[in-house]
Amino acid sequence: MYSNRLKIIFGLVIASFTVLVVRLGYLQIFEGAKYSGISQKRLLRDYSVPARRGNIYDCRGRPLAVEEPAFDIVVDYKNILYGYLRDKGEMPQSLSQLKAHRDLSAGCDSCHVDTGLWVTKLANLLDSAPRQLLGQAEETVNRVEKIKEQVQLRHKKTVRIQEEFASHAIAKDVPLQKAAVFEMDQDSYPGVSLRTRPKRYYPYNDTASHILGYLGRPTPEEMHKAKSAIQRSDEEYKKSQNYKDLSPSSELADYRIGRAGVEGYYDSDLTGDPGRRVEVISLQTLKVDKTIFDMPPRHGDGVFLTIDLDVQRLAEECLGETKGSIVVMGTHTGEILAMASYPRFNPNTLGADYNKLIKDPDTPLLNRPTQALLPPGSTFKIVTALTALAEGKIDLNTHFYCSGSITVGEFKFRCTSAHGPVDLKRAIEHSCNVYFFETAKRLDGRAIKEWTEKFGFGSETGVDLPYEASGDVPLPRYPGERINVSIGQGALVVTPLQMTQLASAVANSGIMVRPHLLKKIVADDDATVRKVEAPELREIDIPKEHFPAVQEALRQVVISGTARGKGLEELGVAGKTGTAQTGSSDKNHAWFVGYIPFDAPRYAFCVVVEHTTGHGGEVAGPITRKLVSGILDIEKADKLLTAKRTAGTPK
Amino acid sequence: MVFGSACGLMAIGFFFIWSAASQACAFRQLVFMGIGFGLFFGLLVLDYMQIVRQAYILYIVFIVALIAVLFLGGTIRGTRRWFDLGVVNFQPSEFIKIVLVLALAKYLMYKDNYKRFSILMISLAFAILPMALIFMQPDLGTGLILLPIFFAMVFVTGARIKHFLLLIPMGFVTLPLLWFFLLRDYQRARVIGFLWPSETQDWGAAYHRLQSLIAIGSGCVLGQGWKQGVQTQLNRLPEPHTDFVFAVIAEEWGFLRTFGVILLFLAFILGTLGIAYRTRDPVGRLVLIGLVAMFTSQIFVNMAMVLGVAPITGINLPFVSYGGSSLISSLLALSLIINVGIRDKIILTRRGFR
Repeated sequence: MYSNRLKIIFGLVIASFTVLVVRLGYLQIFEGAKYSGISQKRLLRDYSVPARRGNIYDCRGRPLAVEEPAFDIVVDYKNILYGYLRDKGEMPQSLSQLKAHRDLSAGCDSCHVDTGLWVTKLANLLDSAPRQLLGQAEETVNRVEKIKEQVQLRHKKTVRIQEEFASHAIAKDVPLQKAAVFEMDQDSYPGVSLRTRPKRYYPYNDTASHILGYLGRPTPEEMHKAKSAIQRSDEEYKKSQNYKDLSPSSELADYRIGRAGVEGYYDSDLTGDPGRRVEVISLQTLKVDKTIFDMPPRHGDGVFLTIDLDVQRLAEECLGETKGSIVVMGTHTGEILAMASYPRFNPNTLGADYNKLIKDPDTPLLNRPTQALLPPGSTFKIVTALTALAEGKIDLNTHFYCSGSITVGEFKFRCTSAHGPVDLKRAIEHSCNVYFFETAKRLDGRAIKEWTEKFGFGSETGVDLPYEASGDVPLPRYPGERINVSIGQGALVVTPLQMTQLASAVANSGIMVRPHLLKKIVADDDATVRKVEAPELREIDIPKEHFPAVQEALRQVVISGTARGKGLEELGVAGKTGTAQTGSSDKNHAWFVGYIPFDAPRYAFCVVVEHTTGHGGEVAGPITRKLVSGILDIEKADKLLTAKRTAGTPK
Repeated sequence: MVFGSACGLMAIGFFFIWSAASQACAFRQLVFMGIGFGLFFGLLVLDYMQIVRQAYILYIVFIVALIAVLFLGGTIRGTRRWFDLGVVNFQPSEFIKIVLVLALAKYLMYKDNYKRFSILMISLAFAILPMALIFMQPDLGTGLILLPIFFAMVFVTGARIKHFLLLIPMGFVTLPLLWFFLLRDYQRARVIGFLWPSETQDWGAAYHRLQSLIAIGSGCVLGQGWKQGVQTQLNRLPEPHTDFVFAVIAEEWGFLRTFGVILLFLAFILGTLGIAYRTRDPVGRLVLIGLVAMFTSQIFVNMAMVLGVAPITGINLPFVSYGGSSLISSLLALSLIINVGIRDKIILTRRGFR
């Protein structure tokens, strides 16, 4: 019996091996053409489907950066070649491979008669000189031939490369009307087609340009990284490896990377993941035979910012054409409503303007609120006062006599005027230097540095923008240095955003918030994928009772102090002026740092005008007035709108 | 013939591991071969009957090892299959196949009453226990290999056909249980992806299958040459030196030579069957049939997977694929086959069959 059963086992073994051999033979001999990279009849094309970049919105959902279609006129390579050859009127020897093409056309005039005529027709349509189109054609032919030469050199045999079957852009950024005219009459342009390409568009031009940032071409390394992310399986892949340094492959030709601002910081969220498609293309018709594999792309996420476009535009208007910055931030949350910087750039025309911009001595590409390093001037007296109170070196009854100057060693340090006997409140109100000089003499350098750093100076605020400056807090060793630092002069440099953070910390009686721009990130299908976490808070260990005095003094500044009579009192502002001296005697930085409303703060802000002749109160004061009244108007309008809406909705 | 073809296959494996992975990898395989051959000759000294006598102890030891590996094993891609022994990763599931063959041989050798259904069920239990433990690693493929071993051995002992037919409804009952309780999501996705390619969301598995087919198709009749395969050298293939080594061979060697490789496998299997046919000892024959079933199903499942006619499971190609445990266990199996071949004995015990 077992021998019979052994025979059955034997039969099973033979059968299974036969199945394997038949399948192997079928794949390798009959279907070899289908699955091998290149065959005589079919080509396997494996390419990535680009993902759409996500948009950027303000806090009310108004688009600040969007993807818009740009139109390119593309022409089949074959037709480009004919146009080029017709123009030259001869067949260059090095292009011997192309003879076949011409012979083919000679034998079949009926369908190939038009192949070189696209040049004149397109020139008519686009109102451009045929020479220009031919120049583009020549460039394309030269590039493709160069690639081909490289590939053939490598393979030591003649090959046809992917570029020869592709269409190439002859005219880029065609206006919409022209594109529409072309689209209607497309049949009369054989071999020519319209290709839409996503283009980043910033509807408000230079508004918030530093926050939004811009896109740039990837570096070779980034390009390589993006390429290796796109897995390609066909023969062409190996060839593309050979000329990767010569040209980006067609599917990555439009690849852009966020370079600055939110575009840069949230680049990975905005980019999404490309899809992948594998198609069999029949070489006779150049049509897609069938799709073997199709994975749709995951489009980039939409990024919602805390920026309020109205406030942002107001801030930019207030700043006008003076070099400087304005920051407006929610005191409790750290949400930045506006961050204005002047001079600005227009990201829509950045490519054309770039060379001019980087040579401009006013550095328009610099985002001043986070990148400008300035001495804070008298606004820093807030920190000195709180430091001295926390260290117990002064109290509210401590009086110093201001005679208009003080002499330490061989140096004489001046005050704005002779204030007579002053206490802390009056010192802040009138920005009396001598009071703080005396205070600084009592403090030791290490304490000043330590407390200054606790208020967030000398390190990045952690705002979600790339390349934030951290500023510098020196260790003042000598009395002279301490005196300089106590009034915000000397080696101490801060960013306007850090000062805004300070203003909110004072308004919150010692609670620091992390400034941020992100409200939420929303997936392409409108489901929220990531929301910014609850505001990041950090408490500074200064006893709470020290703050009311400082807050009162800051309020007095606008009533009877250095910023009196600027109309700030009526608006409920509390704040501190500052005039930071720069190297040249008549150029100062005018500061105003504060918050509104003084009794229940909601917004902290910082206004700084760089290199002006005026003083803090005179220059920054009116700007602040305009800014604050504007913010209150916007709030009022908002409330009215909400009230109307609630009244309008039926109960 | 058996020994020669196995050596030929190992040589081919050496060169294609070199091609698909690296020279270092290939030479590490050479070290495994050395260890394997040491055990091979060591085992030849013993009579296979002595080994079969210890089969139950071996079986228990390896069941314990399988349980231990679930808790103590090293993790590779979410599965626990290995003990890390420094030079070589010890994978008990590779050896349990041989141990199961020995245990079933010992269990079935004395039984005159092989025609009874209960014997069939107990034999099945022998196979199901390690299978369940391997499924829990999880390793679907290796676990399933145990079933053909059981069927082939019980079949050759002369079990009744109607008993086999009884097993079929049982199988249908267990299939849904298997599907819902034992399979992981990714395994289900693979099975679905294989049966209904358009339904699947598992792009990875479909993509691997496609890459493998492209590699094989690119080989055509004559192949692209050793170390010249585009798919292989560009790392398009998943696991090119282990599970998908056959695709590498097909791409770089083409149809004619790959056919030769299949013939080598066939020669190995048929040679083993020949020894089984010639031997006069029923126990030896039973062992050989079990090993034939093990090798054949492993070869078939692996090649079918690479050729795109079976779902992707982690089964490698005996003697050819890179891997210490797999190669050493294959050499131990080869040792048993040769052992039976050179100890062609006259039956002294009572006849186990018929």
